[in-house]
Amino acid sequence: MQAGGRLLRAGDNLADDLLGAFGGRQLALEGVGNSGLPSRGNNVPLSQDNRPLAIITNRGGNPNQSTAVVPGASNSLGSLPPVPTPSSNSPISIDEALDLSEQFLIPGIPVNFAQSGTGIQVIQQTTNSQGQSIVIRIGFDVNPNSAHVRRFGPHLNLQTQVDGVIQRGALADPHIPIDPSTVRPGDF
Amino acid sequence: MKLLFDGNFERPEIELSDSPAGLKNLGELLLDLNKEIELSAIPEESDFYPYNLKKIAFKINKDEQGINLIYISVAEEYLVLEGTSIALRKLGHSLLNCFNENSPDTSHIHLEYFPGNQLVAPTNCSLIIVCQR
Repeated sequence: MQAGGRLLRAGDNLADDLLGAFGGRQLALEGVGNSGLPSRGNNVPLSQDNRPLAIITNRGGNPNQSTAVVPGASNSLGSLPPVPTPSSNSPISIDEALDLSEQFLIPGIPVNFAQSGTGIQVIQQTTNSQGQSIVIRIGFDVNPNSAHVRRFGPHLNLQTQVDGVIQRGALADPHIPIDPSTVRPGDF
Repeated sequence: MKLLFDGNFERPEIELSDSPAGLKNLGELLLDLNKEIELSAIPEESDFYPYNLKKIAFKINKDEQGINLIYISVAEEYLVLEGTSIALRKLGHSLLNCFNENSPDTSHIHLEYFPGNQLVAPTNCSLIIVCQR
């Protein structure tokens, strides 16, 4: 499917699609195996302090190194762009969720990925021209094994933190329903 | 306030829900918290979470390492949120930002660790704060 000028759903699952959309590099989920992709029932290993290790990194590279960069010009982030919203109140497809996510991310800033109990998170971290810490967190809450996802249905979160405070107004954290029929078993 | 728990101690998922006014009050409380407090939760049957936690405890750490993050844990029947006064204030501001009288039911925020999170310290807990009238 072609959406937003990109070829979406090119991979076997959401993680593939995210990598294709946001980096297109050969990446691996640290500690999850050579396929590098989260899958149903694949528990994320925890470190000794129970910290999730499922951070996608360049295969064989520095685990702390950023993994993909959203194409586009760099941005001083004096003011962040508003959170994109879907065109209707109806649940969106995973394809549309990917498209909104791409709109939400800041061009030129490295992207990291992490698996959580509710799904997959996409994270950007940077500092704006005023010296404030900016964190973008996209949550694909699509894992039906999560009580939260069973209760609210699959959805997309678009969270912005400024100096550790979750934002409101144009940067508010919406929760956009995703049509469950578009979620594939390999997406979580 | 209600505190629901999925019973998974390896990767706990907890839902804290309250009315918009309750969440706003909690946010304001956290802005100036200067001592440890405990708040009792109202039990609720849920189709999704099999357990209730009885209380939430807010604990204040001294800023010994300059780490102003919220530590989230489950201890017996308590949800424990621990941090410096700055960390708790960040959480308070986040609640005030995200919840008000116009917040729709089911609006919620996620507090869970990810690399680079400037609010939540490394934890295996996933805390979802939900507006529920």
